[in-house]
This record gives sequence, structure tokens and C-alpha cells, in this order.
Amino acid sequence: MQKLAAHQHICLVRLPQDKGGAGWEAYVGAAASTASEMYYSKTFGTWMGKNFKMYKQTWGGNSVTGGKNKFGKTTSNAIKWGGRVLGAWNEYSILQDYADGEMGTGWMMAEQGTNAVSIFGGIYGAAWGVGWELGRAITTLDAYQEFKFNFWYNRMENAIGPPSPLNVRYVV
Amino acid sequence: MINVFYYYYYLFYTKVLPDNQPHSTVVFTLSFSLSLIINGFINVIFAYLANYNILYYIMVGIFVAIMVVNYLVFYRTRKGKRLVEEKTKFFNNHRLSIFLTLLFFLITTSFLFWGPIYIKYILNAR
Repeated sequence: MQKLAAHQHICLVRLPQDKGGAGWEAYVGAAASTASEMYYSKTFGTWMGKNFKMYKQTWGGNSVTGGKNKFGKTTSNAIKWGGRVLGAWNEYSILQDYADGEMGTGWMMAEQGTNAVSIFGGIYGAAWGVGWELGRAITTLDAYQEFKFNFWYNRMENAIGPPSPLNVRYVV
Repeated sequence: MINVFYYYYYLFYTKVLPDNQPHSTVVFTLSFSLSLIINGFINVIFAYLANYNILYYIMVGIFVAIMVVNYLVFYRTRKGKRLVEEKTKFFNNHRLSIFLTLLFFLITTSFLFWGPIYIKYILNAR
């Protein structure tokens, strides 16, 4: 019973910080960066054909693959441009969210920073963006939140004992 | 001025962070930098005069319009390739050109961080 009360107390504190995540644009943008690099990459020296198989840049392809430049490069560029526009869209939508009070200053700065890296950082920026979105996807899972709660709850309980009117100030 | 920025953005995406298609990447990133200045000015003016925060899809629209213009000017006409061949610089000075391009990049990108705070401050103060 005491544990439930403490959980409710922590939830009341935690919920406002959970606000401020990016929308679907960020996820699609990150996926587009990855897909674009898969279809044609000079960095990794590979390209992908219509048959979804990866080939080395030294081979130009055939009718089955659609061709390195005719299919791989063209598809990669189309996806890359889609991802770029979504990145810019996400960047500007954050401005709106912040102005509307849906996002705190610290979170806005972090989101804008990571978007700037994704937009200007080339392949490394794209990788950064993908990592950022994967991290967000994990931290928004109920299982992760439950694990985090249990971890800190046990730690606090070991340090200061079970929740009581005497130690409730530590929870806040 | 924009021509020099184009050339130095191009150098960045060929020498520092090599890209599969440096010209199209430059068109995108340069357009984004320019859109930050223009959207920033428009936002501040609207916040001051009309106490109004511009909707984000209008800002995205402005960015797309700038990108289309830059695409037509630099990409379709092959002006971008000519600028790279001519190695366009400020006063024929490589270091000055790098410095001014970096300054342009930092000023435009900084809007991402102080712009929203400043606009919110204006809107709340009125």
C-alpha cells in the first residue's frame, strides 16, 4: 500500500518531464537517412538493387537489380530529400511546440541541437539522428519506464527506507 | 556573397564530410541556413507588431520556397558547378572566406536556440 502511494507520488513528479518528444516526422526522417544510405553509399562502398540485395560500388548492376545509378542512386536521393524536408519540418515544429508551452527550454535546446547535427552533419549527423530516435523509442516504452521506476525505487528504499511521512520530501 | 557561401559549403561537403551528392546537399543546407534568417526576422516582426507566432507550416513553406529558388538558380543552371570551378572567394582571400562562411553558419544556426526563447519572451511581455 505504501509502495503504491509512493509510485503515485513519483508519477505526479515525472509526468511533466515526459512531455516534449518529437512527432512521427523525426522517426520517419531517421528511417529515411538509413534507407538512403542503404540504397547508395560511397562511404560504405555499397548500393542496393530492386531485389533488396546489397552490392559493391564496383559493379554497375543489371536488369534484375535495376542498375547502380538508374535505381540505387535515384532511389537513395529521393529518400534522402524526403528525409531532409522532414528534418526541416521537425525543426520548425519544435519552435511551435516551444512557443505553445508544450516543451521546456532545456528539452527544446536538446531537440534543436540534435536536429541541427542531423541536418548539417552528413552521414554522421544522420547516424546521430537515428541513435537519438532509437534512444527516444526505448525510453518511451512502458517496460523501460517500469524498469527505471523499480531501479530508483529500490535504490531510494535501500537508502532511506520505505515511504513514510518522515521521508516523503526525498521523493520530491 | 551567397556564391561564396555556396562554394565553401561545397568544400565542407567534399573535404570535411564527404557526401554522395555534394551539390544537392549544399542546396539543401544553404537553403536551410537562409530560411533560418528569413523566418527569424519574420517571426520577430510578427511577434512585435501583431503579438502573433507564425505557424510552423508557413515557416516550412518559406524554407521550401527558398530551396526551390536555390535549386533553380544553382542546380538546374549548373551555376553551382561553375562556382566550384571558379573557386569563388571574398576578396580572393581563402581564410577570410572561411571565417565569414563560418560566421554566417553560426549566426544562422544560433537562431535555432535563441530565436524561440526571444520570440516567447516578446509574446509573453506584450
